[in-house]
This record gives sequence, C-alpha cells and structure tokens, in this order.
Amino acid sequence: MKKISALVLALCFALPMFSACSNQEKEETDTVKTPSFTEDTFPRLDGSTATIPLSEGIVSALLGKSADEAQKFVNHNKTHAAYENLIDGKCDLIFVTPPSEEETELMKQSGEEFEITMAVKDAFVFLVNKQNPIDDISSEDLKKIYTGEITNWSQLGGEDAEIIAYQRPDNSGSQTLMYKLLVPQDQIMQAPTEMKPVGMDDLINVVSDYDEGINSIGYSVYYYASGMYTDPNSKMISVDGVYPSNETIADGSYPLSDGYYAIYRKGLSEDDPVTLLMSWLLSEEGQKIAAAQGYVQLKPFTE
Amino acid sequence: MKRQRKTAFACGVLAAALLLTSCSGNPSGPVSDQTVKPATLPSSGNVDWNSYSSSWTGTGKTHSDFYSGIYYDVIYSACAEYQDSETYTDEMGVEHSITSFKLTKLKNKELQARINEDITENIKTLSGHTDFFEKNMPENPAEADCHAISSVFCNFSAFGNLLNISVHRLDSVYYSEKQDDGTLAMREAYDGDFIYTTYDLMTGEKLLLSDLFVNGVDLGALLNPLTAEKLSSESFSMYATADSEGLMRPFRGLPENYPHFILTYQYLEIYFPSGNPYIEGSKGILIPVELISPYLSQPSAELSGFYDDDVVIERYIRPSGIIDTTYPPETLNLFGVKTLNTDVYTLKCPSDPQKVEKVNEALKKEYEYLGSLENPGLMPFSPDNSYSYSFLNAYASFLSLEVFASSFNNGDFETISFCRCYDLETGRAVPLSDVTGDKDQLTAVLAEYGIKIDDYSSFYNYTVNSPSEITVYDSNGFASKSVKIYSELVDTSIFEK
Repeated sequence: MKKISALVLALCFALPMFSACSNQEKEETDTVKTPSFTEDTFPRLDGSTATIPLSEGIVSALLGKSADEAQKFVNHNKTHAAYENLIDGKCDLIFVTPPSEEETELMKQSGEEFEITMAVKDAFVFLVNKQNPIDDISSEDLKKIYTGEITNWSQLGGEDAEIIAYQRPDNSGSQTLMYKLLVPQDQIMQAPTEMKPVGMDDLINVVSDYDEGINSIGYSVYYYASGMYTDPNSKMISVDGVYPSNETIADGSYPLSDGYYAIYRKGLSEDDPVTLLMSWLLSEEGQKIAAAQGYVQLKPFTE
Repeated sequence: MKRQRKTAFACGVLAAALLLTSCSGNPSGPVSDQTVKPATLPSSGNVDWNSYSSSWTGTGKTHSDFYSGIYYDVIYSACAEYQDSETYTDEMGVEHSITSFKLTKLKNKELQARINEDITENIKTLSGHTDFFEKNMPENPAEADCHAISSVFCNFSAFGNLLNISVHRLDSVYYSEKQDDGTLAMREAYDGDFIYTTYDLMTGEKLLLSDLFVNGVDLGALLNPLTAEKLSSESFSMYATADSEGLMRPFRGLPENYPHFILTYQYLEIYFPSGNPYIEGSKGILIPVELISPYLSQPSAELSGFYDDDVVIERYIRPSGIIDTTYPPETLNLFGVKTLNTDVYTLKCPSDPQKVEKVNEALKKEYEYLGSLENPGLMPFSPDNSYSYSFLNAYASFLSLEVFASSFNNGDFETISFCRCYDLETGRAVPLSDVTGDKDQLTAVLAEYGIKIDDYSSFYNYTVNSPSEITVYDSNGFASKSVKIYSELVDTSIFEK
C-alpha cells in the first residue's frame, strides 16, 4: 500500500508538469506555421558556399521543389558578394559566416540596419594525433597553449614533449573563430610560417602525419572535421570535459560554438516573406530541415 | 520495507523524469539527431548521388591469361587519331568547338568500332547545351563584348589492359558590364561536364569502378574514407573560408559503381562533375595507387630488393605499375680478366612461390650463358677498367632483364648488353612478335636505326618498360644500337593528356 502511495505521489508531481509543458509547447508550435510561397513571393536568397545546402533544403521544403530543382533554383555568390548583394537590394536574405570588419563597415555605410540572427550552429574543435593520450583540454589551457604559456604536453598530464601548436592563415574561417572564441589576434603567439599550413587538409595531415605529429595540436570547424574529413590518425578532443557532437553543440554544453547567420533588413513587417521564412527556419520544423542537410540545429529537438 | 519504499519512490521519480524529459527537450535528454533523416541529394552528371552505400564490394574478375602470348599486342596497339573538328556559332552567339578522335589501331576491330561509337554518342550527349549560356549571357552580347565558348573534346589514357576514354564539355562566358559609376567590370562564368568510360581491352567490356577491385573487397570501407579525405584535401585552398573551402556538405559516400574514374599507374582518379552535391564546380581527386594496390584486380608485379641478390616479388597480383629501376645495384662486383659478373637474381613470390620458378630457371640459364663467355674473343676485358650490372624491371606481368657490361682498354670501349622479357605468368621469354602490332611499320622504324630483325617470333632482345616504351636492341645481343620502338611508332603524347 505504501509502495503504491509513493508512486502515485511521484506521478502527481509529474503529470501537472507534463501537462503544463505540453500545453506550452503546443502553443509555441501553433504560432509558427509553415509559410506558403510561390517562386515570385519567395525571398531572394544568397550566401556562402557552405550554406548552399541550407538554402536548398529551405527551397525544397517551402516551394515543394525536388533536390535537383532546388539545386538549380539556389544561386549563392559567396560570402562577400552576398553581403554586397544584400546591401544593394539584389537579394533579401543571406546565409553567411559572421560579418568581417569590412562587411560590418559596408553595412554601416549603407545607412540601413540589418538583423543578424544565428540560423544553425557550428563549433570550433581541436584535433590531436590519435596516439596522443590527451583526450580533453580545458578552454583555459587551450588559451595558454596559444598564448605560449603552456608549451609541453607534460603540463597537461601528457608525455614530456613540446607542444607543436599549428595555426591557420589569418583570413581563414577557423582562424577567425580562433580569434573570436579563444585568443584575440593581438594576444595569440606567433606561429612560425611552417607551422601555419595553408589549407585545412594540410593542417590535419600535419597533426596526424608529421614526424612529430604525435605532439601536435590543430583546429578546425566541426562541420568539416566531423563530417568530411575522416583521417583515421587524428581525433577530436573534448574541451572542458565536453566532446563536440551534434547534441553537445546544439544544447550549448560544448563551450566553443558559433554558427552560420541569417542576415536581412531590420524593420520588416510580420507578414513580410523574409519574416515568415525566418520564423519558420528557427522553428523546430525549419531546424529539422537544416539538420537533414548536415548542420547542427540551434537547440535539441523535442520530438 | 524501507528499501522497498525507496525503490517505489525512485520508480515514480524516474517515470516523472521520463515524462518531463520527453516534453521539455532539455539538454539532459534530447531526441537523438538520428531521428532526422539526411536530405535527398541533388543529382548531376548522370549520377544518382543518393545511391551511395557503405557496403558495396569489388567485382573484378581474375584473368590468368591477361598478358599471355598473342594478347600483348592488343594492349600496345591502341592508337588514336584526331579525325573531326567542327566549329559553328549558334543563334545566341555562342561559339561551339567540337574536337573528336577515333581509335584506328586496336587489333580488335569489333571493340574499336564499339568504342568509336561510344565516343560519337558521348560527344552528341555533351554537345549543343544552352542552359548555361541562357543563364549567364548578358542581355546584349554584342554591346558587352561577350565571348561565349562551348568546347567539347576527348581524351584517352591507357594503363595495362585498361583504356579510358573521356569526353569533356567546357563552357565559358566573358563579358564586360557597365557599372553605376560608368566604369566597366569584367564578368566571367564557367561550367562543364564530362563522361568517363573505361574499357578492358582484353575482354572488350566496359568496366565499372568495382571491377577494378578484387572480388569481395569492401569498397564502402576502402573508397569512401579515402574519397572523403581527398575530396577535402583537394578543395581546401590557400585562403580557406566558408566559400573557398568549396565544400558544401559532409560527404556521404560514393554511389555504387561511380562512373567517372581513371586508373593510371600512379593514381585512381575520381572526378566530380559540375553540379555534384559536395563540392563546387567539377573537380577530380587523386587516390594514390599505393593506397589501394593490394585490392586492385588488375594483375601486375612489384619488385623489391634491388640491392640484394634475392629479389622479392612481394605480391604477384598487385598493380603497382611501373617500377623504377634506373638505379643500378649498389655492388657492381667488378669482374676479373676472364669472368663476367654472373650474380643471379633469384625471384621470390611469397604469395605464390611456384609462379616464379620457371623464370628463375630461365634467368639462371641466361647467366650461365654469360658465364660461358669467359673468353669470348669479343671484348678485351680489363681487370681495372671493366664493370657490369643488371636491371630487373617489372611492368604489368612483364619482367624485363637487362645485363650490361663494359670495358675500357687502352682507350678502346667495348660493351655487351643482353635483354630478355619474361612473362611472369608462364615463365617463358616473350618474343617481340607478341608485343608489337604492325610488323612492316616496325621494320621500317628499326631500319632507320640500323637494326634488322629477320624473324620477330624468335627475337627476344628487348625490354618492356611501360605501355609507351619498348626498347629493342640489335639482333645479336651485343649491341650499341637500340630504339624505343613504341615512341617511334605511336604518338605517345596521347597517353600524357
């Protein structure tokens, strides 16, 4: 009898909460309807190469186009040109990496204001050789590595060996993330030229294949490191005890995350096609379309 | 009892927690991303990119007679001649240029006709497209000083018994566009497409990618990771950004029997056509043969141990291609007054020891013959100024032996060279008649170099170095004259395109 009472008591706590949650969620879901577009009313899209699949997924979902038709419909002109096209009014919505100083200045000079909204997530991940016993480094220690305060793996509990910390060229995507998320440009240690591989592949190859690769550390963006590069000799490591995965990036527990952004003019009406599209994209339905294209959703899915 | 209460309470809390988790979507229990199905991929280049598979296997057949006897000359007689060149300008002002060739010297005329038909058909498929130009041409081409060109052309390459024919289309538009400030800006756009076909010259079959690999090899596990790795390494550029990295989505895998490939002695080249879902533009990746050679079905031999007396054929069925033997053995073993260097290479083949026994026997006899020339009366060998060395060279299942001996004596220079080409499959020395095509043409070429051969079917003094290089020495084996006949008979540059 007492056992039953306890169970009932627990369920009594749970059910109202479940009920409340369910109602609240239903309301949220109901507020975002799938917008209806024709080719003529559909916002003109532009963006980076890396966000082409995002636009294709959106076009497929909202215009009912096949993958082939969506591929033909979507035309991205690369990041900088997309910013210019948005400012010039040649497109309505762009999916891009965060604006550079130059692009920020261009937007300011246009005299208009723009909404900058994260559309999908990505993350800044670190790679070491698979033979390296280190599987986790704190973000503080990563900063110290790249400011030259920590120079030996033994300081992190590893072998007594010099840390060979590779960097990327200044204008590369992941170097921008390094400055933004970990160590500002004016504080980062100077890397010798030969330790700045020019391409992502070079970087990862150095980490895994270089004679002293076992002592190396490099970095990349999650989108590429997890999905496209399957070098069996390198491994991603966790940061602050959290391993980078779709789940940990989506729920925010992985500490070094960023994303691809949707940028459009401020002050659009509620029934403007861009507003409707963005509301839908940020909803669970829209985020699932993005996830199906290989991106990390902004938050964990609820269903 | 106390323990039971705790258990019951825990059950209740667990049930509540499960309910909460299922509705809230909080970080402690999100729905797995695996519930999101990957989106359908767009198609291009006659490829169904959605048919990628993680479990497809090699289907290559084993042909023990691939390189035997009369079949040789089929391999080395594939020669193309440029035949057609057509140009015209269409209504939009696009200049079309179509250049094609036809094979003319394949011994198998039926196969040659089929390949030539395929070339014609593929050129037809790629010619006359206007989509790209309709999308990229300026409104008034004449005013914009527009140059719009569509080129269709063919290439071919040969490796062993494989012949690859590729037909390409390259579209380009250049024009100037007036800016708001009155200045002109140059605009340009490119696109292209291609069709690759690989033929087995022995069987006449069109080969699938899986046919290149030994039957049963897990190509999902072998090729997909290599392709993913090379796809990214080819595209990551000097200034890698979200654009220049060029990669659009994570690589999922090659569709089974992906059509656009070439196998050469150095690389398996896999091409991604324009419009492919992974990388912008049309790009090729190169997978080094050394990474896949143990799994390839094309027969060949690889030698090692050139500095030892024992030469090991590590694997017999291994298409490593051309072996570089330009490096002479370290020990020159200076011979004495009357004795040549008669060190005998002993071939070993751990995977099939019997395979090379006949060749070893033949090699021994050849060296014994050299040893019998202790006082040949042909060369005044000097103990201080004479040397000899030998090369062993393997290409496909050809094993070529070359012995070279020289002597300087009072200002005189004498030399002996001696060659044989063995078939590793049969162990027999292969006569020149088996590896060459048009005998009259060959006779004419050799005559220019002062070499006369009476009977090709009993002539053995030559080496096979690659598909495009067969070196013939003069008939008696004591030669200072030689000619690379294949490069004389065939425009070998065609293999380099």
